[in-house]
Amino acid sequence: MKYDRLERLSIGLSRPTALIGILGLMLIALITVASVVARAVFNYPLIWAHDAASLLIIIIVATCFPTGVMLRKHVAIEFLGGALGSRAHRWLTAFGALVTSAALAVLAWQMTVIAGQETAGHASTVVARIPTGPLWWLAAVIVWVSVPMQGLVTLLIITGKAAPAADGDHV
Amino acid sequence: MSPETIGLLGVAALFLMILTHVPIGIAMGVSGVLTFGLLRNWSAAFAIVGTEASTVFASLELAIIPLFLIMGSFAASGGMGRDIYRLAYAFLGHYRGGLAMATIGGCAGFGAVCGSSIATVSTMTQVSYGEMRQRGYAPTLSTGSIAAGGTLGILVPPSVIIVLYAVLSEQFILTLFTAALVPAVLAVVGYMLSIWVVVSLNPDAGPAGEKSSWRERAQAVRESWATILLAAVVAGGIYSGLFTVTESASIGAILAVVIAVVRGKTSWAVFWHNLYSTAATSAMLYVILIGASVFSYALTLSRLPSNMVAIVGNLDVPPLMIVAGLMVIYIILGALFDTVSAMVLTMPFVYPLILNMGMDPIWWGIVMVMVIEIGMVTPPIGINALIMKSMLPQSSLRDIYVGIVPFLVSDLIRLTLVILFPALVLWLPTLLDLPR
Amino acid sequence: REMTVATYLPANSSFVTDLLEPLAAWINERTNGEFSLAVYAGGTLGRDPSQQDRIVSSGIADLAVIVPGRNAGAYPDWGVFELPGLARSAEEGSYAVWQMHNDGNLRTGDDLHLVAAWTTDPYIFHTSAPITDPADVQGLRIRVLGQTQTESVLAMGGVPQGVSITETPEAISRGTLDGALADWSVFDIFRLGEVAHYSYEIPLGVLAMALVMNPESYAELSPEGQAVMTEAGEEWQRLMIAYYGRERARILETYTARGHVINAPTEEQIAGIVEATADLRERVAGAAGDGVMAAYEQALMDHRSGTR
Ligand code: NA
Ligand code: NA
Repeated sequence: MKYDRLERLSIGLSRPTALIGILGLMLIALITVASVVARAVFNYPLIWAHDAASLLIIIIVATCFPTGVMLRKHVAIEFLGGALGSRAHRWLTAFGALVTSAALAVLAWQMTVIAGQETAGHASTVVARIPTGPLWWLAAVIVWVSVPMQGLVTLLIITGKAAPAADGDHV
Repeated sequence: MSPETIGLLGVAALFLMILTHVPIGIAMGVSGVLTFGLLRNWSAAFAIVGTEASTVFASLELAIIPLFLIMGSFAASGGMGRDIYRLAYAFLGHYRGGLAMATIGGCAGFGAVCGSSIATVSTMTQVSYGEMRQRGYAPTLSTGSIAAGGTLGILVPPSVIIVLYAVLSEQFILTLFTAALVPAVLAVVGYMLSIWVVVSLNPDAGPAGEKSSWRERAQAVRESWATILLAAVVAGGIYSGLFTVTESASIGAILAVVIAVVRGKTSWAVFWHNLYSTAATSAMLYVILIGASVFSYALTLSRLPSNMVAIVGNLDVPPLMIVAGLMVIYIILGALFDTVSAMVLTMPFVYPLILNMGMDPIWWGIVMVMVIEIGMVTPPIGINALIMKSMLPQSSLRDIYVGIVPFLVSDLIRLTLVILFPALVLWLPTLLDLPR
Repeated sequence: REMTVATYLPANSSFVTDLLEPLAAWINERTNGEFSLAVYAGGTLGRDPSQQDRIVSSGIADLAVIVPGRNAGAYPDWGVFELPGLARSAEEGSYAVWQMHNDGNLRTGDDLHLVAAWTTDPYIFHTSAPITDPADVQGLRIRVLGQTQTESVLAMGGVPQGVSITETPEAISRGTLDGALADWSVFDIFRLGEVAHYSYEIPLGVLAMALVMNPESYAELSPEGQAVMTEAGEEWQRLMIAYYGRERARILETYTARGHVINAPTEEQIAGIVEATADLRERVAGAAGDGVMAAYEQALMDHRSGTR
């Protein structure tokens, strides 16, 4: 019961981030199309297009993580659990989810290190020289947010309350 | 401990984690960090996760993957699968087995606007399964043609698997897309022949439909304008050199959304579902890419791959035999579990081996895609068959796998042809003088 | 102990086979078994060119080749080499960068120990139509690399394009690009000469590179081992200058025999570019440490007059 609110909160957080991410992706697509048109029709490429896209992409990728966690979309091979019965299956899946939580925490930690280095190194885009540091910080925060979400997913699996993993486990 | 021993321990840890339900990308990343940490030091091992993540997060080339995913999901919800199937039906429906042939044609056409096999299979199941069953088609032929046709989603460009291989092997996406074209045509022809054989042996399996008039055909062409437009813009843009692959993916994604909205085919629920599922699939692929790189750097440092290449290179065995051996291994792996993972997992070993034998990385990429196709339809874990089963609860998994057999034969013949005659793959990229 | 030398350049590239591996062999002969270098080429320890400094500073590899100008924010002193109109050849540029390092006039930060430094030949125009004067650049779409080249081309009235080098030849042959900035070795490796039949040798800056080592790995070495690494920097200058001279002669001979046309700029034209990019020069020199710009110009003059 007490997990229900946490789960609703997590899903409530993951949906707007995914929306922002995909809208950002569509914005990259629009900028790309605009630069194709500018190049083909006006013979004048938009030199800032690459800058804009290279800033957006960092946030877009980060925003995919909370949704990926909440939809439990992974390629995992579950035949051992399948052979050992549903109880073993649940514990093995929980173990996989726990390792995933730890790995996500390492990823988030290293993203934080990178954000610090990008800021300290005054990293910026090529043409307009917009600092990229703040975006790396934002990306790191978003990945950090997905860590407790993955922890929650692990708990839900252990207590048997998790919804089944998203269908179509690869492309 | 020697570096090689540590490398072997890392590989063992990887397989242990995979057995215990750890997702593949995560398992590769964790095992890579452990191996690297033992070989050098822990701060460097953790730092690789950071450098790889920042490479992957900042890569505009990788944005191609979510863009193609968006294009495919909106093409599906925009009704394009139905359009292209109707179009193929108008021209093929009156032949014996014509509905199954139309399914293959529909899959190939839908594959031209969708980069994923799963989206192709689930779309075509909705579109053509009911129709085949209504017209008295055997369940085996109905499901078999869809499950096999679905694999055209990753062979006909655009293809997310090809982009994944291109990124992992640092080959050109455009060159790989072009190289896939001749094998894709061979696949369509081969599947049509399989259907012809099935209905020749058993005419009841696929009775002929009515012949469409030229007016009806013209009507079908008119009604599929959206799909034809989308395919023409995406494929035409890429191959004419008018746009880069990224630009084509951008245009395709926008166009697919616009068409779906204009046609009123997209409810908010569908719209959200497409967005979330693209985001989640992208996150999964990014995790796989980061994990695969970390694992591969750690293995390189253990010298396990280079030793293996040296050992295999010293064997007095013709390269073709080695390739044949690899095919057997992949087909076994593909029967046991997902072949995409098999490709990513074995890449650090197999890719240097292929290069060392003087074989072409573009050709190998297409061979890998075809092996993955086979893995998608072979029991017990054939993802296309499993998806069909989940969509059609009344069908039997046994029927689905039985129905696949004629198409599997065609797959194996095509795989053999492409391995024996790499020119089938390399001719077109060479003709067009694409970068290698 | 085995020290790893990482590079994203392919194992069969002449940079790896003719420079990096010979240097590693030269060092390995002199370490009395204390340590050895092993080259991991082709990005097998990290394939992203812009991450090579991080690979070394975090200890993923012991050594790597970096292009400090790629991360201009982190290595502001290194921005000066990309300014137009200064170094006229790889020999000049390499002399200057190495001299500046030895005189303590070039900062690389505490995270990296610099073993060797050098520059490419100048980036010049390779175009599908002839350029004989900077005014001809007006309106041309030119492939560039990085901020300084972008601004130099803008100052000449051209349209800079951040196309990846691998896509450049195709873009030129299709006419979506009119040409590219590249040094002779990039011109050769990426076969620009097959689509761009004219070169205009106005020097638009050189790309400075460095072989760097993890400071902790360096500190692990005995004094003798450290001395070998110091000598290796001098050995590298010899290897590198011979390599660039040999390569350039071969490339020029190959392409002029095929009818490739090379136009040389006049001194006035070069001075004109320097003047047109005065703002850029002021900003880059300002971002660099005190005296870096002066030390660079002094080193170039010393090399030309043969005083040192
Ligand atoms: Na496709
Ligand atoms: Na399978």
